Amino acid sequence: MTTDIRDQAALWMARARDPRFSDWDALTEWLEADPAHNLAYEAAFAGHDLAGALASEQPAAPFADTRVASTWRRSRWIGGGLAGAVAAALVALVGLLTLAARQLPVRASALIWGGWTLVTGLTFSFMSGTVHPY
Amino acid sequence: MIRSSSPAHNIVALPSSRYDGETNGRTDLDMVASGLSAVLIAQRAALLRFLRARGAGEDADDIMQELWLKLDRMEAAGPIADPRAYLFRMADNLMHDRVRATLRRNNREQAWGETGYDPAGHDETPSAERALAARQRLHQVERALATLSARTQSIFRRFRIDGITQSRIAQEEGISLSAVEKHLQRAYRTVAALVDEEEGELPSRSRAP
Repeated sequence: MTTDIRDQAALWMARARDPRFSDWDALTEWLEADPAHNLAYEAAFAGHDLAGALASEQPAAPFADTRVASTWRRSRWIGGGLAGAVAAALVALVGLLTLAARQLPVRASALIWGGWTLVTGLTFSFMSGTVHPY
Repeated sequence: MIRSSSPAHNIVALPSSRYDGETNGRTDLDMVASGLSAVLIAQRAALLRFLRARGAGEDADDIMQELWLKLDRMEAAGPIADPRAYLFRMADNLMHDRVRATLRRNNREQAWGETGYDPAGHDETPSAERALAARQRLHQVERALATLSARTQSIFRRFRIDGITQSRIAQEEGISLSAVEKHLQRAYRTVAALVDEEEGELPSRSRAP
């Protein structure tokens, strides 16, 4: 498809999308001249559709900005809370292990629980992306 | 063309104009539809020729039938200034819709074949994903148009988004109609190139010489 045909197609598209356009016979003749004309015309028509996206442009963006910021702040707060909980659990585990060094059952249960927590935590940390989306 | 307040007056020399003054229970809407149907009959050969030139092939007759049924179901949105042009526009849009539908179907089948996943099963695509795709499309169009002059961009927006006619834009800008066409031509050339990029030149690769 030559550049020339694309230019012609763009001009026909510009003309034919005007509500006042009436020279459909001339357009028919141009289309008949070469099957490539219709393909270029279709591409220009698809471009016309694509350009319709411009209608969804937001005139101003401050609202969007504040929303993004507040979402970020909230997720940071939640993230902080989660990190704190994990840290507290680790401190408790270490404390339990040192304080109950002599008491075998307590130490054993602490080790089992700690090991299980660690394995679960690692599993969930690394499974992002592999988890079923719904 | 001048819009008159009475639909019947716009459709002169058509069978429906016989009902002027004596409507026999027919509404204006019926008259508009039957007026267009009469034009469709009168312009059948020219419309078929246009449809074939638009790539309808042997489906041209079926598409004419589709056009006829569409007219039958149509609600009159006011008088139609140029019934003939109106029908050609309908035919043009119908062909475009068919091409797009075929393309979507092919893409879907291809995606299904490759991944076993149906991306265009519209209900299955998450709305967030669709919104993201729309935003990306918008940025893509904006980036492409940004390469054009500010005047070309604003004229294209006036035409494509605000729906202002070319003759009105010519008046506003104080330039000739063909100058407006030139601006729009450049813009359409640019957005068409985006489509070519995205779709690998549509089915043209296989059929163009």
